[in-house]
Amino acid sequence: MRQPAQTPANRRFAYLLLVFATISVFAGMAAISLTRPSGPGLWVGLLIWIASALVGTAILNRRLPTHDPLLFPLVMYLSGWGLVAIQGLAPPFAERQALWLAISVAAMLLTAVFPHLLRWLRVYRYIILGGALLLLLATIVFGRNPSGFEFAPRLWLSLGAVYFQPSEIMKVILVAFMASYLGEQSAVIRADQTEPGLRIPFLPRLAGPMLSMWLLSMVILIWQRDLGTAMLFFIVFILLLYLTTGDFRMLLGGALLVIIAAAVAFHLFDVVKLRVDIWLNPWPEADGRAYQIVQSLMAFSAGGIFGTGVGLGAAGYIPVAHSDFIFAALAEEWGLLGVIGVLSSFAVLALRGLSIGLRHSGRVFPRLLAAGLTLMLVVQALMIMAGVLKLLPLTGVTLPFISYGGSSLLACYIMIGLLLRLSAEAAPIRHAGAL
Amino acid sequence: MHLAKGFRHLLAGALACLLVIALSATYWAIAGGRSLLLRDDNPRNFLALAAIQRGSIYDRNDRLLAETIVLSSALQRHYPRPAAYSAVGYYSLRFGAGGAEAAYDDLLSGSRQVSSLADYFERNLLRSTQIGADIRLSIDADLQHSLTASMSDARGAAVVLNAWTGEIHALLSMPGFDPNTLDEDWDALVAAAGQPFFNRALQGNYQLGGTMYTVLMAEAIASSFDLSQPFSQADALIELEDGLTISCVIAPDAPDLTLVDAYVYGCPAPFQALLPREPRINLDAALQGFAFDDPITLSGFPHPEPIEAPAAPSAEPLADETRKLRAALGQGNVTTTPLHMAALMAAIATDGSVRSPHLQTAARPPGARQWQETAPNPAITPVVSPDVAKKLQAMLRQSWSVLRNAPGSGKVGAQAAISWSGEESQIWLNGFSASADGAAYAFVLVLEDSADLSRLLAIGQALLDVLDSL
Amino acid sequence: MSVEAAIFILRLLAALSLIGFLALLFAAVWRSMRQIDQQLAAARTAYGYLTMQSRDRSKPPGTAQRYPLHAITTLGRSASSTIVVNDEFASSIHARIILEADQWWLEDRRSRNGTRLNDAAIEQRTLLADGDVIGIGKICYQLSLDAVSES
Repeated sequence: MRQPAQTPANRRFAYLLLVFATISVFAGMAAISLTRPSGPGLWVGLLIWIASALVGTAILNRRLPTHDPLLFPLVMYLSGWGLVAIQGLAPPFAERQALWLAISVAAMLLTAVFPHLLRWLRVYRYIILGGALLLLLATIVFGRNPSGFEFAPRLWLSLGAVYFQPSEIMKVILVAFMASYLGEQSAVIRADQTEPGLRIPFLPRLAGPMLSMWLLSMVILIWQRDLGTAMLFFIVFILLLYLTTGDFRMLLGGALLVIIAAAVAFHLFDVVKLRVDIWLNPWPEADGRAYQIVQSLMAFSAGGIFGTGVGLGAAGYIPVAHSDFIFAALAEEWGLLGVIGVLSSFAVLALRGLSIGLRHSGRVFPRLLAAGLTLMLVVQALMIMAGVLKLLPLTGVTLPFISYGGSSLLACYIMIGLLLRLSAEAAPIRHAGAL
Repeated sequence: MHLAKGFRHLLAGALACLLVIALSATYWAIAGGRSLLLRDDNPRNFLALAAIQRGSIYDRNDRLLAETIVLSSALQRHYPRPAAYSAVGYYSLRFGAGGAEAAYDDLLSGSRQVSSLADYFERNLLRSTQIGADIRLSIDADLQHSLTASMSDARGAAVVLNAWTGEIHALLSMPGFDPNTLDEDWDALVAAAGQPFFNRALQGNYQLGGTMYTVLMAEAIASSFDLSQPFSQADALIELEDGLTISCVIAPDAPDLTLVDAYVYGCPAPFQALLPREPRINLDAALQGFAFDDPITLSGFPHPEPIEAPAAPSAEPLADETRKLRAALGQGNVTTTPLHMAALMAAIATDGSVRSPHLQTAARPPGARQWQETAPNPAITPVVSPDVAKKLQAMLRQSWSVLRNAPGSGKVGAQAAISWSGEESQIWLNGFSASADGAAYAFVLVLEDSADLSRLLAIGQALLDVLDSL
Repeated sequence: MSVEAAIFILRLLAALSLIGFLALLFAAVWRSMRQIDQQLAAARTAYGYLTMQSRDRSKPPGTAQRYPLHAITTLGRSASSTIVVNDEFASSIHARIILEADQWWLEDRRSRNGTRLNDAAIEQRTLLADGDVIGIGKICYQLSLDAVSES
């Protein structure tokens, strides 16, 4: 049932994509080495990136011959791009990011080839979720912030010199939990739906362990002021619910809940009020609280269509440009071309991720898992990209694969590992329904 | 199957959101960005400015007046000869530019219009460092330095012109500033009583006072007035109704003077008597010829402020007759700038025509070795006829020997005059130095709040000593 | 060559390889979407037919039933099969015939009683030719391929 002619072509294709990605990343790094004095760390970072890409592709080709050949080169290119941008903005962070990239790719490979992982995620979901919640609880008690500022959000756990953000790993675990729970309940839910007279009878089933677990993690996140992640979880939860039930009212209800939550947060938290104020009218405070967003928009303007060229932008003037605002930095140096490149990459990610789900015909858990992982990545990207363009208030999440941040990178690659595994186990394209 | 439908909807939603982001980015990159990039808080503008390698400024003998040097990895403007500040001006990232630095900024900063594809490539794609052209000014560093030294703490202005070419060899306004330490001194300079940033040589609107005699004399010669006609009581003090008293600059030996003698000694009475006596002499026509209402300016430099009616010592409105009288004595509503006066002196020193004064004589594009002359042919505007000019030259020579109380060499002619600007008096020394080989320089010295003739003459003599060595 | 020119060339290189990467990516996405389209279309095209030959020789040969042959033709007792086999020895998902690389293949789908090709039981996927007879339980199907089937 394998198609013997297809796999070598897949292999070649992945390497071909990587060749283009490597030229691009190399050119970016070389340009940065010419524009500013930089140490050997730059080339070490490039080598780590190339090694991760080659080793990753080789192992995937060997162990999962039928995996989706686009996903890994795609996210590697985004990471390479991020590495170049971070190198230009904050060189010391680039070295650490390169190390995190190597760790993340290793974790991705482990996730992708580990034999029983998908089954375990389904079977032991309560244990895993409980463990994750304990981790979050530990963050509340022992949380730190790497910057050391007293009032900065304490979202990190420290293991010696390494800081780790448990909420990032929560993303993977929550998606897996939601997919397995909804997968188990979907037959019942759909059977309920067909019964006449009861339009939302599945609500009690969802209000059980599902919602309580959900609310618990939400409360913890809001307690930690990590509102971006809380918002992200909630949106993905609503979308998965919509996928399971096929009921459009889920989306309306979810939107209503988001608005109510936003209104409550606006009155409860100064941070939220501040961000909304800045979003609505940044101009009067362009040199104060709205400095970041105004500078970000300026970066888009300065980039124009073709950009200033790698290493020649002034996006370093945006505070923490290497993290939340990396999209603006890319826009300045690569122009609209780069913006469209990033957007197309996420479009392809959404398309491929969702079609992996579709190819699992008849099995609801892998279907929802693939959709949930894809949505988690894409919605997060949309939130921060819309934020730096002043379409939405800033939510303080990272741009997946591109932004600086070890935990975030690790979580994103684990999600890609799961998607690759799901793609390898899916039926070949011919058995899929049309997307 | 509704699952597939849900997937399709979510994918369509995600793609639509991505499209909205793309459209928004396009808006900021193309349409919305123009005004954004012009904001003060755009660091790119400052960075671009700080990265410009401005050209150097040289004096007429290619001595360095201003250059851009690298100081602790940043570009900094350095002025090896700070005495030239009135002409060269200043350049500061914080406070902008003044003087020649501002007037020739396009050349110095290399900010030309993008004219060709190669230009576009160089500027927008290569983003190569903006390098400015060097410029050469007609300023003479020695002259400028010696003038600054001899004027020392005096308030006032000095202008030296090459009468035949219009080149400005000295341009000085006192008190001044050191452009090297401008950023540190800025607040003190702005608050200083002497207003160092007010360029008196170009902007100072002074009453004509005794310099008006030159205008009247030129009109008298032109209207064939009998210059040998004597005036009695010529050394009399003129007391105006409002109490302003005007006397001779140098007391004459005898009370009866011809108009020429009155001019040489700077006595007001004959000129006052001239107007009612001689209807042929048209004061308005004379003033028009000297174009005081349209003073000569340097483009890019500060211009004189609009002339206000002079503040009279008394607040009462002056009688019409008095006003006419005052006008004839240079105390009316006619004022002039030192530069304009220097240009008129240049006309008298030559053939009666003004060669439009200019400061920049050559430019050298980045990387080039050869200078390119920029102003080979100054505009020529007649002021008086060559004959009148010649006669005035002779009178000025005579005046200069009376002023120095010694027979002159015939090279230098000059007139001293006092004017009253309502609050304080100024003393003028307007003249020329013409050598036998045809070279001629016109000079104007003005000291504010002073009637100290000996000091004026000392500064004038020092000026002439340097001029001789030019 | 000046540093500025070198940076510009690198920038050009980076931009071109970005465009190349995206072009490849979209080409791949486009290809796989077209593949799905083609396969959907192919699934609806008949490439030939299978003629049921009952071993029960009581019926006259002219009344034999004909089934269209699709790129994926499944045989079994289950109602969702392309060809529903009404035989007590047939499994619900019994066998399938697929078109792959311009060849027709017969696969046994782990049926209880096995699939025969020209009266011989098959162990693995086997190449089919025009006129072959496929046997499931007591029922046989003769394969007739259209001459102008592959495009």
